[in-house]
Amino acid sequence: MDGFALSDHAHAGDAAAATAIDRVVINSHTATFGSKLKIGLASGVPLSQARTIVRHITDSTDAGSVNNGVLTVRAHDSVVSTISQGAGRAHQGAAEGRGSLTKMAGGATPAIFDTPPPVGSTGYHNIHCDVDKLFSDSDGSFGVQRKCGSGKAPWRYTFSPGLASICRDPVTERGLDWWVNAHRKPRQAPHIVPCVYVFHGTFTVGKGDYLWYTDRYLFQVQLTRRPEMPSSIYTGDCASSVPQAEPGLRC
Amino acid sequence: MLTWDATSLRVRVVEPILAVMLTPEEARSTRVEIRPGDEEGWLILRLTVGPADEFVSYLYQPPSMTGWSQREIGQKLADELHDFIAESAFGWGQTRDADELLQSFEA
Repeated sequence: MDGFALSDHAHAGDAAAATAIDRVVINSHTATFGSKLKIGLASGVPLSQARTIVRHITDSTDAGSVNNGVLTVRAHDSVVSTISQGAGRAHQGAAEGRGSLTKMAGGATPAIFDTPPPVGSTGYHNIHCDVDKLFSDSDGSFGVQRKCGSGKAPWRYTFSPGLASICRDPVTERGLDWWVNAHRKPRQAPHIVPCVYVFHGTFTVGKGDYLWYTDRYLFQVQLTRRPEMPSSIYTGDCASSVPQAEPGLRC
Repeated sequence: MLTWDATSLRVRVVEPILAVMLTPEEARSTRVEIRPGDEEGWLILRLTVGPADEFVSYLYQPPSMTGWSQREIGQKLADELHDFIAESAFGWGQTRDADELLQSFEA
């Protein structure tokens, strides 16, 4: 690609390898993920870890507020959850309904997904060629790789087992929006697929490019009921770092 | 500047590519729809192939695709169809492309 010195060398042990997907949002029946990547530089810049809600909704105090059937939960790490109660229905110990989880890093707002951060700003992960990079958090895993010398970087995203367990088929993927060096590229194809689908596509990028992307997923959420509690709606985190098997949680 | 509308895209890009990436039988069972998208000037392509397989593409997206050539638009569409066909009921696991045709498109 013009403007880039393509002296490809594979690097291992990038400092950002274990960091979470940046700025993950699951919002109003949707999941949005976005991140900033810089292609092919030498050292990684870890981003803040974003975490999903680890919380029962047991009463209105926990819930935060209820307006027009939308329940809002504020968790300890700037995470917000909204659940539409009006669409839910309970039967035999399980509550079903349209729900949503919202997840943001650092209290950021969804507006951050509208425009890419400035090229050269801090927080871009480095993607070295010939390294299958995987960013994971409790919502899912985003993988991207570029063969040394190639101008293509295939990506993939999968829901975590926990998220997949509360997701009801089908998922409607809007299609990935992406920017290279702050220039918007055509939106990639949408899909209507099962929750366990491996969402995927290809970036056209070269060494030194700054890449930013965001996608959105629409799906119904299967919410489960804790048998011994009167509350009908629960949500929980299925991350491996969090104690599992909350009674009644499916994940 | 090169501009595209639904008719020119259908005639010069979509139909030729479908003709080489679908079998005649599949093509006969295909319904093609091009409609405006959510953003100004965008055109959305929706294909229904046979009874169950549906494909959607953001076929033309100004300004990010403004000035794109027939070959550039065709390449993007063919790439997306490549994935769609391999995951479809009618063409599961098959690798189909339009590379030869795309070489004949205006660059």
